[in-house]
Amino acid sequence: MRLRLTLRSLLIQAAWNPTDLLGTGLAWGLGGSRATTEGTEPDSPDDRGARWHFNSHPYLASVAMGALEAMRRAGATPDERDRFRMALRGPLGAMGDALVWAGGLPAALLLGGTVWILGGAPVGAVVFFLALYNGLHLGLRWWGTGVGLRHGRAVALAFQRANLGGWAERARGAAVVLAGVVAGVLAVVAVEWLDRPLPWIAAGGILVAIGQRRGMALSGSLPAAFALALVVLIFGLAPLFGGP
Amino acid sequence: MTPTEWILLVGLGTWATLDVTAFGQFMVSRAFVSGTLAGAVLGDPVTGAIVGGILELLFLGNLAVGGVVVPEPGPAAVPAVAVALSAPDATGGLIALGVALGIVWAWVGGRSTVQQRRLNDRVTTRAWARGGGEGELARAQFTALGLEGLRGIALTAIGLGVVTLAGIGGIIEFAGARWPLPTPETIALLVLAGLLGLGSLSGMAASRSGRPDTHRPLILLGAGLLVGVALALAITPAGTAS
Repeated sequence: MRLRLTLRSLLIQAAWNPTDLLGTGLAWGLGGSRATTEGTEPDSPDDRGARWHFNSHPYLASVAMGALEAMRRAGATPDERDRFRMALRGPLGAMGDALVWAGGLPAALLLGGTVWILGGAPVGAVVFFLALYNGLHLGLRWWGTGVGLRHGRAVALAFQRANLGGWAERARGAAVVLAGVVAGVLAVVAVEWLDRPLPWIAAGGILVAIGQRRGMALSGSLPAAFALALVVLIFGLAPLFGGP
Repeated sequence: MTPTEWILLVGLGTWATLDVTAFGQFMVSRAFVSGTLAGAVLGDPVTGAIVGGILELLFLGNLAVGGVVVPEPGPAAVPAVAVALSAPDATGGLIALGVALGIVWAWVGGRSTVQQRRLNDRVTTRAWARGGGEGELARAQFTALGLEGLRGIALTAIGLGVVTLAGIGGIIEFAGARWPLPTPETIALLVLAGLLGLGSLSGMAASRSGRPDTHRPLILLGAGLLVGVALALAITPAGTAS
């Protein structure tokens, strides 16, 4: 059951939609909204077809899958399971975002990038990143279904004991340190590659500092729009540089 | 680009599109990964990693938190790398053009996600209206997955088609020759814009609720910077860094 739930969690976002978010994926992962197990009563006809709403970080959705399956086996009513599912949405989403999207993923990416810039083969650096990241990713999904199945409705306590918040803090710290490492390595590469590296390094330092100071305000598409504007501007000004 | 390369690139772009949200999220959809792999298919993984790495830096601050729709630089890196490698030697102009196409295509991909999710809504609403049993939901899941796959095929094939047509029409060659900067300076310029994204990510990652005025982000970033400089000096003898 643990393997089945973990594998199905890989498709939990296949039908992501604005109405039930991950609800369809979760219901399918658990064998359909009407699924029953031997020894428990089937869901009441009133509950059949009631659309499930669910949101979570996709990796940590496995915690909800395990816990809901354990509750169903323990004979919890559909109403209890619905309330439990609704209660899990916030914590699983926020914790996963902090742990993975803002911490683990950028840290692993920057580490892979550093390996490449320092002279590793590009495909080797990509394989290194994918192996490192997916080892942790698949481990997190496997752990999630396990802890959910073991603890059922008491999963919140087990979740707290695992101290994912502390891990998220460390992962985000590692991402910041690695952002600095990449910036440092790039500065040395600039000295080796460019004729007049100092203005470039100074400009890079200023941009990193601006980016860090403004944080979220400069996220989104602004850096990409800046790069696009630079490319268009230089193409436009090319005749002034003696281009054709 | 040979037909085999074209098919492999469309396959890679489709996998990257599916990986963004619908299946697994193994991070094949990161621009650094898909760009490097696209470069490997076309025989130059280093240029692929340069274009993919720049796109990665530019969109690094786009965190997919809370299910928001974000640009898709991973699938877009495939046609971007195809532009950069559309001539035997990747010049600064071709790399700049490739990155520019990658940025635009990442935004197009993000916008198409909104339409895709509306389609998913229709498919899943029908499944729930039929009772929400495992069979109905499985059909909805795999229909949505198939639609997402078709979106990936369309996005990548159209992107590569644009590159091919621009190549035939001589637009890429003309624009590449018009670019005034040498290759190292071009890469440096695009990386500069990416450093804004790197800084933004580090600012977001370092912020801790309840301690907004802490110096921790600067200390961590500074420590990393020193380690990076020391590592680069120790590992790469002059002129050998990639």
